[in-house]
Amino acid sequence: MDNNIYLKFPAISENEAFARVVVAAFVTRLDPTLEEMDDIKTAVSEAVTNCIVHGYENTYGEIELLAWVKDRELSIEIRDKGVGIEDIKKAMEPLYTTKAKEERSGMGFSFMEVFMDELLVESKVGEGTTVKMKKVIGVGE
Amino acid sequence: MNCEFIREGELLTLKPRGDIDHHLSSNIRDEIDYYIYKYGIKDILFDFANVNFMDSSGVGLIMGRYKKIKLIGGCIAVTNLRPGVERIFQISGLHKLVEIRRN
Repeated sequence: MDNNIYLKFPAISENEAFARVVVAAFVTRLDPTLEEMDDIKTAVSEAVTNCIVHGYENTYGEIELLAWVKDRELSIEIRDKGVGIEDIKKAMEPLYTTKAKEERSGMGFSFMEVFMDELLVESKVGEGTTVKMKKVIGVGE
Repeated sequence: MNCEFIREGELLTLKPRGDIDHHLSSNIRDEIDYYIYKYGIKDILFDFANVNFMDSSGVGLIMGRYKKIKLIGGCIAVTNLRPGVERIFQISGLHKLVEIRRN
């Protein structure tokens, strides 16, 4: 049966763990491998951390997380209404970071790309950023 | 306490507990650096026996400590990596900078 969830939570770092655990619990039904579970948790963690560190620059804000399952495909959408990204292509380059001082590795988007089947980033300066990801569960078996 | 610190001479052993994400990294980063400067730490061993998850924030944390330690001729080692965490080391290239110890 198809299913979906919607979460809205404040942009505080404690909620990084909360978000990835919720999504992990949500996909359990598809019986993912441990590796697939790690992939999904990492991708969610990266996207939510981006909202907190970049979108809201460690100030107040709200993050929306939607996830839905259709057959064996998991879709995740993570949105903030933060500062937005000026140059998405540049932001997605491996190792590129605007926050080297905070020791951001610049690997967030690369990890999302590696661990999910599809990644789409939509952003508008001053309005916010939405990250859309998809992954088919259980194809490797 | 989400990370245990054990100091023996110039070696600092860290035993984090839980997930190494942005939340935990920003909490323990300053404390590690405090040890480095105060006690003249040269080498750091991360014992990941109680770590189930690490994301790119953990990569940033280790990379940052590596840069500091390298300047004074020290090195970083990690041990007890579970497969999911080791994959993060491989994909990020961290495995080329730090020694992965297998027991």
